[in-house]
Amino acid sequence: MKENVASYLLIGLFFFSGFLIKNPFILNMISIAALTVIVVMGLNLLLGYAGQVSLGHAGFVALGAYLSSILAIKFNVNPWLSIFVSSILTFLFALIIGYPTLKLKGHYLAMATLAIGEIIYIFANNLVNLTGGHQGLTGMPMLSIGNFVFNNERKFFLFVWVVVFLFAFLSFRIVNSHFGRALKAIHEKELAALSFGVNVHLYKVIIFSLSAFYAALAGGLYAFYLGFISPSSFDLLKSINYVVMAFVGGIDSIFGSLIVTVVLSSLPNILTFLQDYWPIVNGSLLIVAAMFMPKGLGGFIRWKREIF
Amino acid sequence: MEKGNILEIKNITKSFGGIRAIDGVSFSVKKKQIKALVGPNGAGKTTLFNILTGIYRADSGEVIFKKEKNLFSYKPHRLINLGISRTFQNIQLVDSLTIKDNIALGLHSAIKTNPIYVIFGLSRKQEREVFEKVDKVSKFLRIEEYLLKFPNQIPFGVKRLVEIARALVSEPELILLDEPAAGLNERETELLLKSIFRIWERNISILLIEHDVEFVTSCSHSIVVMDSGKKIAEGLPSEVMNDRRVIKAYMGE
Repeated sequence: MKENVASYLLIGLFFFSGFLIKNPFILNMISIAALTVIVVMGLNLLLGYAGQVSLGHAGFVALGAYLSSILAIKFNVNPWLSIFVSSILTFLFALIIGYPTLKLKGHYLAMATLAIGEIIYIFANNLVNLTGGHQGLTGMPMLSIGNFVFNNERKFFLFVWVVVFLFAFLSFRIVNSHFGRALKAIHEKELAALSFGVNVHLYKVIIFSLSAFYAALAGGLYAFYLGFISPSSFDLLKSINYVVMAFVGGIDSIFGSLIVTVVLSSLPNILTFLQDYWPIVNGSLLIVAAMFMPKGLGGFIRWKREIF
Repeated sequence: MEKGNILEIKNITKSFGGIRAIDGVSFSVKKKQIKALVGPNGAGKTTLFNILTGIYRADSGEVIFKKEKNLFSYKPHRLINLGISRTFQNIQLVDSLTIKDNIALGLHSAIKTNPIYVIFGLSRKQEREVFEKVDKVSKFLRIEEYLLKFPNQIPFGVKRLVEIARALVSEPELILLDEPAAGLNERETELLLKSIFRIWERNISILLIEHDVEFVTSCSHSIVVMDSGKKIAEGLPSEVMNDRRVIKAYMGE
């Protein structure tokens, strides 16, 4: 089966499970996981396909969440419009920031993106008038279409999986085009990419900004779904978690990152007794994955298929 | 530019720190000519290649391609649009792409990119055309049986041919081959020679760097010999290989 078909089936499965699951706690948990899937799918385009690391993606999620909330609360902008506008603004912000940053490579790039994430985090904490500081921001109106209000967990659950589908579709379109081919070439053989007409730097900046767009849109939906955001949801640990999910799910596998993200972002809520130790669990998982399936779950599945 | 030339290299100089890697080298490639650049290790051949392909910037001198176009005014990723493409000495195939996609990368700049096109799948017709050309060039180099394999699943000699196919698929006027015979066995070298002649028959000019003197004398029309950054000889293979300075450079005093 092709990877895109498998992924669409899996997303469909999640969508329909929304009709069966009764427990609002689980619905809520998987909705949040689905939003994380969007972020990780975007990050995967950057990390998995183009091979450029970002340790600041929580910053872009925060930008999407805060900008859209502020637009809606302080300027009475329609929630949908404010999510869309804030995502576009984040995209543009990433374009400007990414232009100098993506000239860096490897560890330097990791450090620079980490700093971007931290700076956004500090702003969220300290611009108290706008963001409410560490106490957070609340009072976002509920999302609605006409008279249909997304006022319970199930409605949002179904909606968010539709959004996941749209982003997965977009991702597959990109990676299966000549654009995706160029991204892989940039990842592995930058010199070859350059020699065959790929504007390497421009492509890196574009894919960086696009992945920031994914993150911001997920952030916006997150803010309006919960109706409350605070800086602690967007700290460095979150950025690292995104990278772990993308890595364990599989560099260059959208299907893999889909499964792994749902599992890894839900597990802490199920294994509550491990909550304080979760970074250890995450870290060990990364080590195990790096040792036994260096191409992540996606690569592992592909490898198995080759053998049998 | 002199008539009949496709590439003119004029007085190129390049230093790295205190070392003069290239010292005032000039020569030209004629249309439909196979020109070889030879010389011992460290002669500056690869540096010159990297200057031609825009990876390094020369300290002085110029390179003229076709109608008075100075190559130094183009960014490296634009060169392929002018009709110059290259292969790499250490194979630069993308391991996570099939051979087919690797060759298609050679036509990247032929596809008119537009994000909207990509999202709505409107670039598919162009993609089909790309793959038709990939099929054609792989038949031409007789590697069509490998198209669906990945680079780590094919023999080394075939990888070299895939590199050439990728450079050839955009139908360039000048192709730069960076040590195409390095690491090949006798049979593969013979196959490569045949392929080079067949490329030449298509009116494509070829500039190649090579270590293997026997290979070079059997395939090129004209040879430039470099030693420690300087051009020490140029001419027909038979003349150049009997030149005393060339023998000295290769064999020592």
